[in-house]
Amino acid sequence: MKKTHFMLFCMLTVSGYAQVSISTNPSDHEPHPNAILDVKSTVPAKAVLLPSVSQISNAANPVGDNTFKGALVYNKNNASVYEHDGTRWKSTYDYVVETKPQYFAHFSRPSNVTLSCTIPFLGTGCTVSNVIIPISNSGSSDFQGTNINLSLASNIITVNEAALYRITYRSFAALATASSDLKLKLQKANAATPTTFADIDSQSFTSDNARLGYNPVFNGSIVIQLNAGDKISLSGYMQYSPLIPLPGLTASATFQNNGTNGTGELVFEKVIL
Amino acid sequence: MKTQIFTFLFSVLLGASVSSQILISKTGGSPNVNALLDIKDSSRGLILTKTNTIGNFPLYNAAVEDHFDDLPSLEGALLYNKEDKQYYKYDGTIWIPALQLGGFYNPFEARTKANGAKNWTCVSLLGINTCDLTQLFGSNNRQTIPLSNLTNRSQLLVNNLNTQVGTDYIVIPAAGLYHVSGVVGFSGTSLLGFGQDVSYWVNLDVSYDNGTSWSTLAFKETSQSGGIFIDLGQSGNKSASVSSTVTLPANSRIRLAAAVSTSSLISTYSNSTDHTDTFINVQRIR
Repeated sequence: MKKTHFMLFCMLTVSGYAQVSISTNPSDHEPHPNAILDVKSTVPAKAVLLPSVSQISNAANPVGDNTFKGALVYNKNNASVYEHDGTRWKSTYDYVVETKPQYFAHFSRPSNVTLSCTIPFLGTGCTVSNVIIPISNSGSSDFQGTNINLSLASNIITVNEAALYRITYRSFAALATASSDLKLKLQKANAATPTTFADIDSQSFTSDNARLGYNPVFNGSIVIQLNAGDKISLSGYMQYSPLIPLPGLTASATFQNNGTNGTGELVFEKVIL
Repeated sequence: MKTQIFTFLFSVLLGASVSSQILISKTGGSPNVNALLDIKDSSRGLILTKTNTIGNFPLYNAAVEDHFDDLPSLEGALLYNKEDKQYYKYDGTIWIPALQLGGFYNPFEARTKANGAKNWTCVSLLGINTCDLTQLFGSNNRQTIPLSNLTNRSQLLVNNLNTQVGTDYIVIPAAGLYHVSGVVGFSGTSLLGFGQDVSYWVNLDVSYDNGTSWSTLAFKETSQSGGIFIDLGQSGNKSASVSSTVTLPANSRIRLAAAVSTSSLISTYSNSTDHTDTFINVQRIR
């Protein structure tokens, strides 16, 4: 009965060179010359079912068996096809996903930075512009993937490979003076003028944000094409202009590296096109 | 030699052999003990079925959200797609590309929808609006969005990270670098806004002490244009989102909250509970 079923719906061709084709179409049953098993396609398509296991530990797992190299099995537990390399089963899927951190680099903030200014005689306010924020690559959460090439010196990150990057930065701050306008800026310089930094993105914390009960946090993200030699830094900016500006009034705010609102961090991802 | 192979195959198909294994080879030998089908060749490949377009895949159904009907018995099937030149596997719900860029199954992904709607109803009396941030001196209408622990692969609501979902928070299961984003879909109507914008505020909060205290992880304002000065009312839907890439410790909690700021005479807004509109997405990067 089984044999009859098989012969009715399927054509099995075994050629003189021991190639096998499986076809439902009598006019298309020749195996491809470079294929030893050719499962012919139809429209609409039929699929090929691999043997499946409910978890990969259920699959036979011979060690040191060269003839088992290339074996395939489908693991229902994580919806992944596994390949056997002669020693162990490897997920074809995890290979893609788990290598993703290779394209990431993470930097942390080793210390706090306080910005402060005093309104001068006859002044209406005061400004602290562009204080470089310290960056570390040796914190416990820091890493640099093998497929992203950045270097860090004097709190400035140098990009060593031209590519498209997604840069994400975050920090939080303690505001000692409520009416000050505080900004966290992402800045860039190029190889020709490595000390001339210009803003490429910035995040601020306003009085509306405070009214909503938000803590002073700064989250920015930008996708940018960078050239080899480009330099990236984080900087802090504060402007203090109270309603009634009196000379001698002071304002201060501190970008913090760690605390109840999380850690300050800077993440680079090389975007794979 | 070739005769021998033919005989071997034929005997298997006839059921005459006690072995239930199949060997395809031009050099003979026997199938690996751990393989049901063993294809041996040093130079030639294996061609499985292929199709020109995703529309020809088995179970294709353009009417359902994930494009494929569910069929648990087909789990593990393989098919090659010529469109994007790669193999797809069927997991019982959808066909997944072998290269997972943009694919549906990510073991480091969790996406949770809203479990209920919050309402923001605002009235303006004597120039003081109950929803206008600048007129309430520190008070605001920020509300936390309730979350559902429902998973539905067809709606792309998954919990592959094995997070615990509370009534209005997600528990991060392991320390690592995460990309967390929140989206809130608002719908509502306002009357006599006199050209003032409506501001939708969305924020993510984090708690490191099992929910005792919360602090802001990230916030974002999305504005809807107030339109013409003499305003007979505006209605419609608006989506607002916020995200952060952040290092989180194990057992930290994440929640999604929203607020509306308007100076309209009378207005009412609520968040959508549809899985496409309001959700938290947590992706572990490392």
